[in-house]
Amino acid sequence: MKALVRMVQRHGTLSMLCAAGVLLAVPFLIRGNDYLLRIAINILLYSVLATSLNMINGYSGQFNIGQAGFYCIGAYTAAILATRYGVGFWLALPASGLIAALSSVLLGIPTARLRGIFLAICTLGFSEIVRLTILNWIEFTRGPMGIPGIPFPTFFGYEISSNFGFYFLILTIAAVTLFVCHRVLNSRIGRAWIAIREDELAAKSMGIPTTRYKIYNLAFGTFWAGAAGCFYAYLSSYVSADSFTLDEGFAILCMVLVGGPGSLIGPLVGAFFLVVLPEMFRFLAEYRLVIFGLAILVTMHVRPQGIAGGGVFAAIAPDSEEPAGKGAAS
Amino acid sequence: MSDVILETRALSKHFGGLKAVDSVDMSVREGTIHGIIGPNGAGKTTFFNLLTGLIEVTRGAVLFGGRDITGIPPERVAGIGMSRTFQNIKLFRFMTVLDNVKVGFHTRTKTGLLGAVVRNAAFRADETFVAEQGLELLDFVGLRKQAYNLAANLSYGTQRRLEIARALATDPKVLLLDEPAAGMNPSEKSEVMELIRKISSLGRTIVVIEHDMKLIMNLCDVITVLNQGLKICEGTPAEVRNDPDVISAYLGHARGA
Repeated sequence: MKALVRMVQRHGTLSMLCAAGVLLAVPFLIRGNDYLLRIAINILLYSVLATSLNMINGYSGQFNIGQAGFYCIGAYTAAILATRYGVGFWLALPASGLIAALSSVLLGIPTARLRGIFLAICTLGFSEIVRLTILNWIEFTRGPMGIPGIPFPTFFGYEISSNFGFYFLILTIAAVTLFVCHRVLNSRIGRAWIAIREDELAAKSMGIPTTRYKIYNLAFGTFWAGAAGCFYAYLSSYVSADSFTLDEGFAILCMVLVGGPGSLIGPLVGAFFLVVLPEMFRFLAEYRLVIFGLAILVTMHVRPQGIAGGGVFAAIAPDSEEPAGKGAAS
Repeated sequence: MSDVILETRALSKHFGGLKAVDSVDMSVREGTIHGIIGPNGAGKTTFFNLLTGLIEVTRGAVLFGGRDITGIPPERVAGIGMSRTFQNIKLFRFMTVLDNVKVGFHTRTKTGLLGAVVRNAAFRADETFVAEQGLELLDFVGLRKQAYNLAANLSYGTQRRLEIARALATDPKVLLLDEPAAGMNPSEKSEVMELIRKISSLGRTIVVIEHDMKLIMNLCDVITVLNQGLKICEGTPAEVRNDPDVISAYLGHARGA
C-alpha cells in the first residue's frame, strides 16, 4: 500500500492517465452485463455526490448532512424542465445545478452564523422540508405519484438509452466535477475555504469575508449535487421523493467520512466501497445502513482521517510543483 | 516628528461591570515601534481586539490614518492596512507553511471562480505574484526551507514567525503583535527581536504587546502601560522604567506609601 502511494505521488500525471485508461476500458469489458454496468454507473454517480458534499464538509468545515435535499432539488428541476417544458438534457444539467445552488444560498443566508452541530441540524431539517414539500405540492410535483416519462438524453443526435451510454455520460460529469473542484481548490477561493475550516477568526483577520465565502462554498458544493440529481432523473426516467430520504443523505455523508474528507480522492474511494459493499452483501439488503455505520466505526478506529484522507494522496490534490512527502506531513 | 497613524480616543470596553479597557487614549506615530505592557489582565489583548474589530467597542473611537474606523468588521481591517498576530497562535494548521502565507494575500488578489477554472492570464498573474512574494516573505522570516511542510508540524517559535509572515502578506502599514516572544527561549527571543527591527526598518509601524521587559525596553520607541484597563503611563522606555505608578502596578505599593 505504502509503495503504491509513493508511486502515485511520484508519477502524478502517469497515474491519472492509467486511471483514465481503466475507467474508459471498464464498460467495454462488462458491456454485456447490465448489472455490473449499473454498479459502475452508481459508483460514479455517488462519486459526484460525495465530492459535492466533500467540497462543503471537507474543505470549508461546514457540517452539512442534508445533501440529499439538494440532490432532490436537482432531480426534480430536471424532471419538471424535461417533461413539462421540453428542455434538453444539456440545458437541464446546469439549470439543475444552479437551482440547487440557489436554494443553498437561501438556506445559507440565515444559517451562515451557525456552526457545527447547529448547522448540521438545519441542513437535516432542510433536506426533510424539501422532500415533504415535494411530496405534498401535488399540482407542481405530482406528489407521491412522482414524475415519470423523462426522455432519454441525446448527444449530437445520438440517443443515450443504454447503460453503456449512461456510463460515459456520468464519467464525463464526474471528470468535469473533479476538474473544476481541483482548479477552484487551488486558487485563492479554495485557500480561503480551507482557511475558514482551519480557523475562522484568523481567516477573517486575513481579510476574508468569511460569511460570504461560507455561503459561496455551500452554493459551489450543492451545485454538483444538483447536477448529479439531473443525471439521476434521466438515468431512471422517473423521479419520486422516496429516493431522497435522509438515509440517502447519510449514505453520501458516510462515503465522505469513510473515504477521507478534505481530499479529492477520498470521496471517490468512499463511493466505491460503499456502493460495492452492499452489493457484496446483497442478502443483508435490509441492513444497508448498518453496513454503513460499521464502515464508519471501523474507519474512525483504524484510520480516523479516512481511507485516502490525511495527505496520503496530497500530491494529487494540490498542484504538485514541489515534491510532497519530504516533510513530516506525509 | 512623524504623523500619527493609529489613534484611540477614550476607547472603552466594558463587560458588564468589568471595565476591561477604560477610556484609553493612545497615539501611535508612523514608523515607530510602540510597546504595550501591563500586568496580566490589564486589558492589552482586549485593546487589540477593539482595534481590529473582533469585539464591539463600548465607547470611544479608533482612528486609522485620521479616518474613524470604530466598529469596522474584522474582515475589512486587513484591507485598510492593519494586520495582527494572536497571543494563542492561530495558524491554519493543516495547510502548508506557504499556503498559510498565500491566504494573507487574499485582499491583494482578485481571481474569481471562472478565472480559477480556466486559468486565465489574470489568474496566472495572481498566482505567480502570490507564490513569489510568499516565498520571499518566508525567506524574510527564515522559513523558506519549511515552505511545503504543514504548519501544524512547526515548532512553537517557528509558528510565531509564520504568523508574522502571514500578517505581513496583507501588506500592513501597522502590524499588531500580541506577545510575539511568549514561550520562547532566550536565543529565539533575540531572533524575534531582530525580526521586529527588520520589519520596522522597512518602514512599517509596529505595535507590540509583550511581557518580556528586556525585549520591550530594547525594542520600543514609545511604551504605553495599561493596568486594570486604564492607561497609567506613556513614554520612552527610560521614562516608563522610572515611573512610580508603573513600579507600583508591577511590584505593589511600598509599605506606608
